[in-house]
Amino acid sequence: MVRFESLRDWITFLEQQGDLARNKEEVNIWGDISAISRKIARTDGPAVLHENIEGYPGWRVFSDGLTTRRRQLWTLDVPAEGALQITLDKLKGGKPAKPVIVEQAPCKEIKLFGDDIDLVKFPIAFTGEMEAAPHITAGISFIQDPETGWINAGIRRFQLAGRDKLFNLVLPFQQEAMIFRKYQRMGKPAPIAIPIGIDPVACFCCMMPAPAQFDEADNFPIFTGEPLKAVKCETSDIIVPATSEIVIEGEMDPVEVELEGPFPEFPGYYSALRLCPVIKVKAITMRSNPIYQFMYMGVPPSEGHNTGAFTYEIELFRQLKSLVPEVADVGVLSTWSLTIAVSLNKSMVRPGLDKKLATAVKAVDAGRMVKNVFIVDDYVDVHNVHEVLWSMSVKFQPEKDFLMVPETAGILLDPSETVIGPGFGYSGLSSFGVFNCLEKLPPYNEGFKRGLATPPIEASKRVDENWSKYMGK
Amino acid sequence: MLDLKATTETQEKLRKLLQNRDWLNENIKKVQADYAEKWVAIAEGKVVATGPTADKVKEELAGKYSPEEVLEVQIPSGEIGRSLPLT
Repeated sequence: MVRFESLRDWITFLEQQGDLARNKEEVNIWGDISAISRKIARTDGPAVLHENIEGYPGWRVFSDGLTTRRRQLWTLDVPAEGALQITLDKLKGGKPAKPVIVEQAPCKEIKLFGDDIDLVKFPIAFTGEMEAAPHITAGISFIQDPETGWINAGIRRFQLAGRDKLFNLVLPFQQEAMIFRKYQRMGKPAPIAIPIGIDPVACFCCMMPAPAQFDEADNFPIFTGEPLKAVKCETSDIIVPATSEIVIEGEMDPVEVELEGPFPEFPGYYSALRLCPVIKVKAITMRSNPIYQFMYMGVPPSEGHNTGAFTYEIELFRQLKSLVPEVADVGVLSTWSLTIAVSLNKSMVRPGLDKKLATAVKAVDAGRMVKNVFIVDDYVDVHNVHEVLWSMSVKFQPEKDFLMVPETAGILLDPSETVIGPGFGYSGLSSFGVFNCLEKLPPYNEGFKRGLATPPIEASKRVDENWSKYMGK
Repeated sequence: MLDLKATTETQEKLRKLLQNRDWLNENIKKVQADYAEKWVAIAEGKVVATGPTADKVKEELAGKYSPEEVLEVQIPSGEIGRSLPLT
């Protein structure tokens, strides 16, 4: 059953749960919306619907729908206990399916073309103080492979550059770049569609780092039981969620570039001025009373970081497990997936397994951004940074348990990377650190033979079974 | 009520701000020649303040321009990088 057909359904649900703030105080695009979102993320606060935007009468702005794990799990209809495994089981047992094309769609209530297009009239909010121009931060890029028909979807940021112009930071490691470069080689503009304000399940699916040639939207029925309802764009064959609040349609010129940035990137620092592809907007379709969606970016935590952490945990687990069956769990510890923890099934650990895992992390699609990996035993909760650091504190010796691989492909946005190429460069180089925080195998296991210091197993089991009683519930 | 025909003061202010970036895009070579590695503030089609840090530029702007009117950015030296290499 599709629980949330649209962003509006989601907002209604959140309000019923008491997890939505309806803000009637005036806020501006210059910093208020961003600062409120940052505070929500830092305090585990509710989602917010701003209903009074200074200079944008009639508009509403929604943010932070997926900031907390609680709200993410509501979206997927998954309980908190064992959430990752249950989500993985759904993905394993579920069947992806193509979206169903519908003729009538709420996102087509208004259609703007030509001189009627004016993105300056949309409440696109600034995210950071030193941002050059406001960026669309909750837009999903839909771009179609001209050779295979694959529609890649992923959350991106787009700099507002004028009434009908956006800039798109397309980076070499992104799947979007794989597709765009095909158009560049053909000398043709690449059609692109950017829905804003889509339902939370579709948003979640589009944020998953799925393998190349897999349409992210096809995962939608795994979580809902029904395919996504989609509608064809006005100016291309790309299909987008029918219940989107706003859909921006455009073309990315294969040659034209302009100065883009600075933007507060997900590592928490501003991007450099860089020459980026230009999107010429050809059409905008939307609801008659659209809700614009905002997503804070910059220093973590944020809705983007928190959602990215969960989606990367899912895909990293799926992709790593296929190469390293000994993987027991995967946790993203910080900054999308720059630092992760992976636990290994203790009974299957053998010499050299840490190296195998390290190689696999950099080999899988979902591991492309990983810079640091902590390898821990299976009784360590990889989602709990304190437990991972405890493992590091007592099982890791820097002299022999640290592996460093120099000059792996970076992401350009991490300010600690070495940048190569002219000027600010084409690409970044990052070293890759592997911290072996496992109990050590002989002959280094003397200290571990004394055993873990925990309460008796039987007592712990009883406590788990009777927890609510002990807590007086 | 949403009115896509009307224009507000905020929207006009934003439009002017975007023109600052347009100006920088068109004049980046000259700005680099004059201010490489420095922070600059651009407003009304010209550089209106410069300094070694963003804070110094802000000090210079105080009382003359509001933050919403200027593009403040550090100017890189050398060739500006591209997000994607040329094909």
